[in-house]
Amino acid sequence: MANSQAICTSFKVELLNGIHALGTTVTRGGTSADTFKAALYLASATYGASTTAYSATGEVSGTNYTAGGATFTWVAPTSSGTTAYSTPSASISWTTVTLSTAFDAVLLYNSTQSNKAVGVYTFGSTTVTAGNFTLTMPTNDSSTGLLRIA
Amino acid sequence: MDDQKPKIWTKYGLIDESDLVYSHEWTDTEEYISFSETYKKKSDGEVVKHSVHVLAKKPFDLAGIAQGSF
Repeated sequence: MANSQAICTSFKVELLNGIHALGTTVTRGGTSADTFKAALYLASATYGASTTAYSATGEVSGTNYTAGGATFTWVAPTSSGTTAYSTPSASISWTTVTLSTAFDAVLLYNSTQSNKAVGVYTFGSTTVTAGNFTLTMPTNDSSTGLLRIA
Repeated sequence: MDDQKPKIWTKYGLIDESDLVYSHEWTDTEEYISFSETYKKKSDGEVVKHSVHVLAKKPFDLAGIAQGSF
């Protein structure tokens, strides 16, 4: 059997677990997972790939919505084939909210690490009136998991 | 409001379900599926409750990690 060139799949999983630091890193307070949050943004905002951290600018506001958004946890990162992946462990919901100005994006960010950004997910522009807004997560696997390193 | 009738929580508090019109809508795109539910007052059509549920279909694509060569 010959050697084969590859980025090791275990390394991909370990990236998601914060094991490797190729550059300057942070001093971690322990081995627990960081706390992550999800914040909703107005359709008029401009969040995307260049976003580096959570900001209240352009965030939705309304009845029963707390600035900064909702806390969620990730399923422990794992891999299948050569893809490492993870997905929020449950739906992210806001209950009985009124968000009258159209919004169309959610920013997932790490509130433990200075609110550094993870990703922005967009959906159809919408409002909510005295109702619920739910982000239902896809199946956590190597093809549909929300966060994947292939 | 009749206390014996089913109620729906709205922007005006509890309203008899029989005084409301319910509708729902599915939106299916490459990135997401959205299901929304709307209750409007029969009297004037005002939206008094609107909920939205989004299923993310397209993951954050981090497939760009590439290996260089010597």
